[in-house]
Amino acid sequence: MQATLSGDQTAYRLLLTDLRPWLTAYFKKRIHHNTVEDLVQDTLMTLHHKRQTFNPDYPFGPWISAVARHRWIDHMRKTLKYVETEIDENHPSEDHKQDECAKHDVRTLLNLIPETQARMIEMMKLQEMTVAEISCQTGHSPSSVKIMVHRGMKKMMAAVEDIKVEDIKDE
Amino acid sequence: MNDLLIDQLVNDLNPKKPLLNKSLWKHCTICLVAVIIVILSFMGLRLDHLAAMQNGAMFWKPLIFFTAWLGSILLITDISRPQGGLKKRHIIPLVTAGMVFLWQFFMQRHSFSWDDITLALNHTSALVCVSMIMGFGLMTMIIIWKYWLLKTATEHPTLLGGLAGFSAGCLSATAYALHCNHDTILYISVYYILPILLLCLMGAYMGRKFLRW
Repeated sequence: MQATLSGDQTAYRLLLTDLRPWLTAYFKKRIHHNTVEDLVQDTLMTLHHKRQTFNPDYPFGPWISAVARHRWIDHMRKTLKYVETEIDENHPSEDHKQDECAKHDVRTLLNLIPETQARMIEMMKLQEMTVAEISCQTGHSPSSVKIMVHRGMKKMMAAVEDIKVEDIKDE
Repeated sequence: MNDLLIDQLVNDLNPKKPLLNKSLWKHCTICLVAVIIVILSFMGLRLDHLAAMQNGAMFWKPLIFFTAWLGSILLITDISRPQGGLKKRHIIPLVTAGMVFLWQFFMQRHSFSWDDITLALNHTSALVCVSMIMGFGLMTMIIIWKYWLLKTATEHPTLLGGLAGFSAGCLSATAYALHCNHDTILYISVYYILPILLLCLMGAYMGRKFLRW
């Protein structure tokens, strides 16, 4: 880099060629693969324009790292609203696994209570329907809908409590 | 594609002087000396300089702005490069300036009656003080901007611009303090610090706008 500042073109070419794979690896860890090449080129151009800010009394590594980090942050600022995420169906995320487990638990609990109560709870808690809507759809009065949901929930809570007690006994 | 870019960059290479801190110090010191010479040549040393030397006003007033100027230059050198960060020890001159200011504030606290405040602030020469500090400060800022700031690559453009304005204001206040004979701390608080803050704000705005890279 010191030779570069004095105008040595051979040293400069060597420096840029050596830096290219390092920068590519640096950005590959941080951003989407499509934009890595753009950012590498952008960083090389920044290095060219701001090369006088390199102080020959200090090592080159921290300086180029700071330049690359600056370019990366700048890129993130510009593209923050377009976050790219790839959904891989074969490898579901932890959240996805948790959702599936919760769905399974709810289905199991609903099977433990009478069918009418389970249907009411599903409509009210999962489909977020109002009491009036459920009443219209099922033909039951609003107060009986409320009672059935309440009783069903109570039975489900009791089932959960039983499972907890059994688990403690097993331990 | 990238090899083409490397070829272009290599062909565009020309020798460049590294950005060394001594360059900033050199330009700023030349500016300070030049402003002092201009003020002393055209406006002269304060008329009561002998009395001011005896009561210390000849020293503490320029000292406040001189130490603040030193501190701001040190902080500018800290953040002018990509890997730069503020060094705690470089805040010491700014703290010293603040302490001298506070010392004078307590020394002059007996003259903080409403009449004294009105008398101190309604002085006719206040406009001259403000315009002189602003004028010389702006000229200094242009020089700092041209010879230093445009070459920098900072991660804190707003702070760097603000510090450049602050340093330019402190520089011109140091020089102007040798001519001005208003030593009340209230007068200094308003008519010296106001233009410095204006320059600081202007620098911060310009830094935010033009020092991004």
